[in-house]
Amino acid sequence: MLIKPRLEDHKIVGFYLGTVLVGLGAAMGIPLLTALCFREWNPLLDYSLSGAITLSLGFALRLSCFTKKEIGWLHGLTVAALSWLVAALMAALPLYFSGGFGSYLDALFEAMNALATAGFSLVRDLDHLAVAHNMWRHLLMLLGGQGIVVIALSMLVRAGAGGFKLYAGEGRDERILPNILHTARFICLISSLFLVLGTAVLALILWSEGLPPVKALLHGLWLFMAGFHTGGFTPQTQSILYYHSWRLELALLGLIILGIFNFHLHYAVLSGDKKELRRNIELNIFFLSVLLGAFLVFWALIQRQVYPGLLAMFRKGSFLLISAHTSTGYTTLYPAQLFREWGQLALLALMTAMSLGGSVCSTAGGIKILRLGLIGKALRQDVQRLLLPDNAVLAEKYHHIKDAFLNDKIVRGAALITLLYLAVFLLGAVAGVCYGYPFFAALFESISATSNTGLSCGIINPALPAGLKIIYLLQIWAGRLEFIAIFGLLAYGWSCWRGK
Amino acid sequence: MRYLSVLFFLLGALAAAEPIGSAELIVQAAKYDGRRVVYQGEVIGDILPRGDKVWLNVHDGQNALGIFTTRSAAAQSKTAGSYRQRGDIVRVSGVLHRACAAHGGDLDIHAEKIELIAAGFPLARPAAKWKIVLALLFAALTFSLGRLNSRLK
Repeated sequence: MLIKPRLEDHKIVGFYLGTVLVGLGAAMGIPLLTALCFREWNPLLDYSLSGAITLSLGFALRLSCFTKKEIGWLHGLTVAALSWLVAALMAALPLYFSGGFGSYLDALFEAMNALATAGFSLVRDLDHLAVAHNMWRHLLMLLGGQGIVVIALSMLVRAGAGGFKLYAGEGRDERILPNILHTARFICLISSLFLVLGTAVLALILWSEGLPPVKALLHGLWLFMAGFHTGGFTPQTQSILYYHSWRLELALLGLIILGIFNFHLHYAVLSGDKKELRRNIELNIFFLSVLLGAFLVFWALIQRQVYPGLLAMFRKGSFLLISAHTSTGYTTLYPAQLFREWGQLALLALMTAMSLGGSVCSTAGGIKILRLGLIGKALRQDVQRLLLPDNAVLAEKYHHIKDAFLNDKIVRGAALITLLYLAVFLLGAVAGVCYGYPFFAALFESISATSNTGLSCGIINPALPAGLKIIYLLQIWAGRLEFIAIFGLLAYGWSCWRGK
Repeated sequence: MRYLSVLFFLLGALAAAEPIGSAELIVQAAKYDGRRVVYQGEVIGDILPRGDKVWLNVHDGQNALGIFTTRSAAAQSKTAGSYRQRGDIVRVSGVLHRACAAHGGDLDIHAEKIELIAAGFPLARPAAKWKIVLALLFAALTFSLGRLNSRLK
């Protein structure tokens, strides 16, 4: 029998949702201070007003839903799914107030893209956007990349067994340290370390390439926040092409590769376990997959004679391939060029790379390479089973931080998520075709949205029909949460309606 | 017949001087590759020096294209567009490269001449009064709710 959630259950959801909103409202203090420093008075008001609205709502929810009851699995999934929606709704407020978006839906699309580290942008005039608004767009990528619930956990919530349920709801299911609160704080610590180093390196490069010192620092910080968290926002319309710098492209490649590594792997390496780099199944598959993708992309570019020399081909091809594979979405090409010049083979390689994405428990999107590895190993085990006697016992091992045996439960979980991703890729493409776009372009955009990559073939722009904007927005939200939290939310809603 | 030839020549010259939009240049890059083009738009962001040359980024309302030129040619432009100001509108004459061999395969224009069409100007961004009133009201509400919230144990 389906049990109808009681008032106490709604209070748990409301209380944690309120906590996340308080965290988000407090975060609006950063662009507010930026506006103050740069004497941008209108943005200052945008963030004062939006911050006050978000904090009021958060405090009101915490007060009206205060409870000491421990959070359960369904609550955790519901809170995670709702937090991302409500946070995007509130994060969109200052962007909408800025007047830089055609509608509130466009501002919401931008905020969801930032939080989910997807990177599609619907801003009308990015090159004239205030420093404070750029700070907010990129900060949202950092908050989303880290996981807004993880941040709320580490800053605002008491340590408790229920914390893991919130953490897992955001599409993360690994404990790096025994206590989930310590895990959340460790993730923030690693990211802070890289934030300082990464920003310094990028700022120095940008300064040497001609940006004034303050601007170099700001652009360095923003590119770090969007790059390390595999988001792909930039402060200028031309993306990375704006800077005309191979040094910057090289530094960003290193940064985004670091960003897609599992935080568990960062912990192992920082703890002195260098062997993990060689043995880890995700790393091995990632490098194999990049090599294969590079072969296909270079083959296609050579065949079509797209670039005048090998160096130019290598620079353009490898940057876009790694940007796609890591689900970052930085580009040094115009969308029309990509579709008209690169050809279908290279685009197919890019779409496959976007689908696969990065590591689990990282900032990357996509199906995740660990799942691909597990399904591959299961396939190998099944083929071996056919070749061996019926009574033979087969045990398949894989190494991901520690040695583990493959079992049906693990494989089923990986296969289920993979199937869900594939189904959403296809459904999104069908929706695009229904709106009159060619199938191949619609599939490219659908994969890019669901895998939170943000590379575009030109379909997603401010003139996109509102219905399709909502479809892509839902794809980005579902892809970021890896579907499970969405099912949790649906189950919660269903039990509210049909439960007894 | 002679007048007709002169007329065609003049029309041709006028057509050649007509700026081509960035969308056309990007989509038809193969057609314009290596050809002299005229492009017009607003200088945005920063002017990035590279030795005795510079990079400008010029936005025509649809896309921004990278313009590689000499410092002296770029000196025509004094103001680049940002939050505070509209940048100079410039007309760029130069050679389009679909995939520039000198610049890692970038689509760019190597400009020979840059003309200032209209000087940039500061953008007025007056603060909206309704935002001030609402922000004060919500700040008071936040303060009250925050005080109550701090008593939660």
